[in-house]
Amino acid sequence: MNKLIRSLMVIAVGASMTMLAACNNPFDKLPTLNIGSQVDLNTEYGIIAGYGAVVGAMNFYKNLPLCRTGTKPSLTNLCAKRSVIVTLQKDDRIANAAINNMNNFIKNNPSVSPSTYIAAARNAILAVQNVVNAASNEANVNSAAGL
Amino acid sequence: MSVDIGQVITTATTIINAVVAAAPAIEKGVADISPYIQAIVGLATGQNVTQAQIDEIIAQVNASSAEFQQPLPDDPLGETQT
Repeated sequence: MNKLIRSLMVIAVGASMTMLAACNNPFDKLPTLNIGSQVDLNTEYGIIAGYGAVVGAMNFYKNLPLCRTGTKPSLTNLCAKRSVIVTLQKDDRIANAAINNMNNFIKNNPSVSPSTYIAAARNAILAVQNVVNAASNEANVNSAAGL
Repeated sequence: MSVDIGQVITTATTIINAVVAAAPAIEKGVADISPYIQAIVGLATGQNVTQAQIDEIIAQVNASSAEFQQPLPDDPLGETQT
């Protein structure tokens, strides 16, 4: 009798396992997240947002009145140098192209590492940021010198 | 050490006038940058980004870049050659 019950139990457990396997896996209901792709998207978004902040700063600078010939930007003479804007426009064209190249690559190649494109975009933004910082520092130095 | 109050007031007035004159540009600059700062803060707080958000922000930065790329006014008299 015990042997029969044990056999029935084994069969029942086996059948249950089979039924469970045949049923939808409850974990299938959970949202899936491709960690690698998500990291790339988050990284990309952060870089684009950083670039956006830099472009915003550049537009702010460009919206200042142009410095008059022979004057220097300072706290008492808030103005933008024509030469700085021209340099920034050149660097921004490179940065904008790098950003869009990165975006297109990640969108079209979701399973391929975009590290080369991300690095190119970062470097291009840094180049722009350096020019913005230099312009800002020059105004600070002139202000400190009482110009 | 003596302080020339008149000079301090003159300098302060000059600074205030300069900032007031630039106020629209400053205000616009803050408004332009704010969404990007919010986006970065969102990432820092663990937000996961969707492709739709990336499409939206790339359109915004491209529009800002296009605005920046607008050529400067000509300067035939050489008044702003700096």
